[in-house]
Amino acid sequence: MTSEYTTWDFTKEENVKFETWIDRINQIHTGNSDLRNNDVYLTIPQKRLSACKVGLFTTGGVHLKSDTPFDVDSEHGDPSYRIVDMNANSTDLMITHTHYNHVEADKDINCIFPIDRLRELEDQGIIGEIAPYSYNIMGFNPDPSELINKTAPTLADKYSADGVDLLFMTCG
Amino acid sequence: MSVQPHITAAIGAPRAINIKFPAGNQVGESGKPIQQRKLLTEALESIFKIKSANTILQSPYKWRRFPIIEEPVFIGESSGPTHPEAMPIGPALDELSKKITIYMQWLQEKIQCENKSPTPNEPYLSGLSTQLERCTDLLELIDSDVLDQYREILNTIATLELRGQGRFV
Repeated sequence: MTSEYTTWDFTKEENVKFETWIDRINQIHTGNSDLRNNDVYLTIPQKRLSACKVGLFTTGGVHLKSDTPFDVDSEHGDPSYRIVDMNANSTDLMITHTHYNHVEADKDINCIFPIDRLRELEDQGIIGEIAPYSYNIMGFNPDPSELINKTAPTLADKYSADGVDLLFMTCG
Repeated sequence: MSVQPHITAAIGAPRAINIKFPAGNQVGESGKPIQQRKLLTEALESIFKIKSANTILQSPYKWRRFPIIEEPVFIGESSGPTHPEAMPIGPALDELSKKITIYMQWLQEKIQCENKSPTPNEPYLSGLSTQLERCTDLLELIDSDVLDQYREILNTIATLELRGQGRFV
């Protein structure tokens, strides 16, 4: 089925759709900052998938129930992160995020954070192994400056120190 | 894994895979491990196909029309936004999609039948084919724009409910 994956194109209509969305965000949220990646690099994987240590990351606000929830009341968002031990039970996880509909993911966290599915892929030998920790954020950050300058480099260092070859990311 | 490719493309990402599933359901429907495992595996495998930065692959799968039938098994409960007027919109769209799909199968059977006839009625065949194309377009519309709009409605309602409770979001 992977042969049926085609390339998605950013058309003029899609650009208009994005600009309309940004305009609406600017009207709703004060302190919004439209920051984009000017330089985007691609690192080609050097190992087969079956030899890769795969990490998991989401901006969907996933954290352990025992951990402090993300701050969803602040109009400036919350650029902090939460550590999830990948040995945790999936039912010990929860979502704190008010900017997308997570009714389904509340019933089954694997909809956005496929921790159980990764374990099965590891057992089947499809992936090499699972990274020991996941470092997740909550995606609502109208001004992403701290996220870009502080949180993201910290998390990149952490995943790198954990020996992650491939990081699977979901948005929220 | 993206569900809003225009945002991913505008912001800039080394590589991404877009799927026409709602936000919060990138890796599939709740309680359906076979579907989730297939989506996750294919997403991981397709990463190796991307050879240049800023490439977004489009997954061929459609929401609620996954080729494998699987009875969901739920492992938790939800306290998410559940506006009584908004929630039935999703199932109503699914029901509409199912009816269109059944109608399309009927049209296809009629076309096949007519084609097998020694003297096919060309205007009738042409009419059936036009209806089949219109149904295909309608399904595509439900999958993309209608689903996007529904997603927006739910998100806005969730925001309004929290604002109504005096919480800023």
